[in-house]
Amino acid sequence: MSPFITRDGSPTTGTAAKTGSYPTAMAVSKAVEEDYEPAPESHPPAPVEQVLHNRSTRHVAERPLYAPSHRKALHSAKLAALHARLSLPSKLPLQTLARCLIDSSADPRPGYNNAPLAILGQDLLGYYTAEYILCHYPRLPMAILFAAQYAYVGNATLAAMRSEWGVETVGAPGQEVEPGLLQLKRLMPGNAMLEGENIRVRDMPQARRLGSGRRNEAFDYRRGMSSRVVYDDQFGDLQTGLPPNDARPFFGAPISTPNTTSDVEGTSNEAQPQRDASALSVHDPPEGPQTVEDTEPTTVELASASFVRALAGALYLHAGATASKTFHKDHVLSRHVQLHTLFHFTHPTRDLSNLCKREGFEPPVARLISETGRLSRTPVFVVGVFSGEEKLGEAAGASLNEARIRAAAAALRSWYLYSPPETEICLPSDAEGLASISKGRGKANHKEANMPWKPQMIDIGEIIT
Amino acid sequence: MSSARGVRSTEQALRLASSLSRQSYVCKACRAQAIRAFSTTHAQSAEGVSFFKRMQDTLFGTKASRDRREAQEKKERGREVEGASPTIYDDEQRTKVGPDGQTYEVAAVVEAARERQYVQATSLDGLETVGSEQWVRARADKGEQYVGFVPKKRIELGSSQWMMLLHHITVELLVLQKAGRPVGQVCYPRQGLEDPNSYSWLYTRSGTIETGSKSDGIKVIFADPLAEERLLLAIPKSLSESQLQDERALMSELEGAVAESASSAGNGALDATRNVSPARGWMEAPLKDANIKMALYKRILQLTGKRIPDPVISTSTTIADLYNHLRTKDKPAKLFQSPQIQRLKVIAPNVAVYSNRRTPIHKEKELGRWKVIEEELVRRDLPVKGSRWVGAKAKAR
Repeated sequence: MSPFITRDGSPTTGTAAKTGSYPTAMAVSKAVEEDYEPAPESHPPAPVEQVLHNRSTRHVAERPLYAPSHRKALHSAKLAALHARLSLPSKLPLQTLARCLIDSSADPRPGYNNAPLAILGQDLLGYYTAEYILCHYPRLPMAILFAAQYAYVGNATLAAMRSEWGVETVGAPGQEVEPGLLQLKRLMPGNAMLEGENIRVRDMPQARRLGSGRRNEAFDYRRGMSSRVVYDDQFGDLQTGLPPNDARPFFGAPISTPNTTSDVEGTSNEAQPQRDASALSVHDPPEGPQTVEDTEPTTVELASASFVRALAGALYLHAGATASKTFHKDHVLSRHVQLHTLFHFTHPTRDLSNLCKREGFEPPVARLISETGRLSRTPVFVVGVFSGEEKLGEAAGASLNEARIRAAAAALRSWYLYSPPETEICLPSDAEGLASISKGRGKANHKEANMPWKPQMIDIGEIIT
Repeated sequence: MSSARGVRSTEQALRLASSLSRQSYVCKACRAQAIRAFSTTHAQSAEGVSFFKRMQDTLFGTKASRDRREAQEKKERGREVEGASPTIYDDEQRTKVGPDGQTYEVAAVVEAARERQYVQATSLDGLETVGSEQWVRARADKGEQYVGFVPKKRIELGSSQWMMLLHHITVELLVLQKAGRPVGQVCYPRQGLEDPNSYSWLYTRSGTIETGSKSDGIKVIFADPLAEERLLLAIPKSLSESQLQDERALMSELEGAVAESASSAGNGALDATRNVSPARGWMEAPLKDANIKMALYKRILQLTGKRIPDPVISTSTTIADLYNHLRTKDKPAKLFQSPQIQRLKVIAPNVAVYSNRRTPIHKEKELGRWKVIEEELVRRDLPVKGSRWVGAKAKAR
């Protein structure tokens, strides 16, 4: 598997950056203008006839608001402060920032909540993080890659980021709340007592979450690393919240339902085109919850992660790829992840000898470099692992065997954590805008404008134990 | 008692000790110290009464206590004799004179066993009832109708209306004064709506108030002397018993006096528009005559129900002073209404300046928690917005 072909890399990303225009941004802002209803408090109360007239003529009047109107966003001190605190570009309007704070549990309609932006933001954040890790550490094993990805842009990290930014959450979502707060419908805590019953929420027998029905979700499926790469999400975890297999990819998409009854009954062929037309009907009522009462409550962590992802997506749409990359660099890559602590070897000596065999090195030999207190209560042995004359790794241990294993693990760690020199590293996303910059804008003030794409080192893979 | 005795003895001891220096005065601190001093004398031995005498007194009592008991017994005996002989009214006595002089008719005793015609009532209809609020009120006022001097409803006036009313009353008062009539007659009940001759407000408009040449005088000048005569006719000279104060007449006079023009009088409703107008020149006329001032106060009270506080009455030397008290004043400007804040709303829309105080409810609303709190309070039948007022629970329901 090529390191760059992950599901995080969005093909549309490059297209948008190359063309230099952002049709999605325009669509989203248009949707913002159309979908949001004017705030009731901004207008004097209209007479009943006027309201009824509006309701009959205007389509938007039928849509209630479950979250504060976008008109309130301009008057929110919290939103303005957050915008300034994060040094967001002025291209990102406060209304969009307010929309990023509306979780899908607070408003289930995709035209109002942050879910579409969060999908884009998740892909972007995953893409930027994955390319950073892969280009800087090309030999990382897959499990470490997953763990590092989670450490950088996982839910917990993004939730911590939300709280560090000073974004607070609402008690209960509604139209009257301050738009600068994270809007979500809270999950009932497991410690809470169920109403009318003498039992805690967490002790209730719950129906098993119905997954997407994919093969890897079966209880007897062996979810190995290859399976995780193919089926699971960017962190190697089961994808939750996936629509079932027969669901539409987007709202209003035509979908063909296989009609098995016709084959059984053997009806005439003339009826076939009509049935196809009805199967491909676009005007079906929308699926999924439409009011807040129907939505599933969520945790603050999940809602926080969706907020940060939506913000990254909104930045990309409004301010472009550079702004979203800067955001990623400032807020995600600035968090230092100690990659060497993520390793856990079961058989480091065996792996090291396999590695040496694969790479054509001489077989590793452990040699005692120094020792102290062999007969004491706390002896220390310093052992080095050598491949011929080259020392691969060195470690200290309380026994000779421990020191040898530690040295082998250190050798493996140093192999896997190899990083090419900074001058050789060229991220694919940095080279994405080259064509448009050289063609359209001439010499742009761009760091990568003078840097041509360099093929990055691709390792043949980890040692499978 | 023991402490007083202690004081006495110790004071004496101190006095004896300091007799050489002839100090008769003992300071309070020394006396307090002397009181606190320890004494070994038994409390009873200081009285000088022997043990036998004390026991005797305890058992048989002293002469004083015996006398006291005898007096008490005598008093009680006398009360018993009085109670045993209640006043019995003679059956033949038909009338009885009450303590305050009024005569009551004693009801005849009807014995149902002797009277053949006596029929027992089966319902309360037609029987005399005693009690109920109506019965009490009918007995209390004995059919008299009380009409208050002050109208039941207080009437709010705008500034210009106050000005016109002051002018109207002052002209009436001055005309009365000029005619040599007591100014208090201005409060006498007028003829009423039916008599157009009592429409005094039609004539007061033409009167001009001027400061007289004398230091205390103000006078009124009429272009038409007929108006002055009509005005004098409109105000009754005597207070008749039968003529009651008519609220409708008072209201029509008030409406006529404060109407924009004499022709529109009566059809315009009283509405206190918030117009702020400063005092006019004629109002600078001095108000030195206490009678005029008092009559002015009474007439204002009679027409509008507005009471002018005593400090204002005593300190006001001109009509303008009274007017400045009565007129509607500018509300103190709030910070929210200042032009700087209004400009700020445009420049920095994210800065919120509220016109009213932020309460904890506002904060809860911003968090979205208030609707949950309210719902739970209502469900538990608890007051929603505090319980420190009467009817809080009823409001919650």
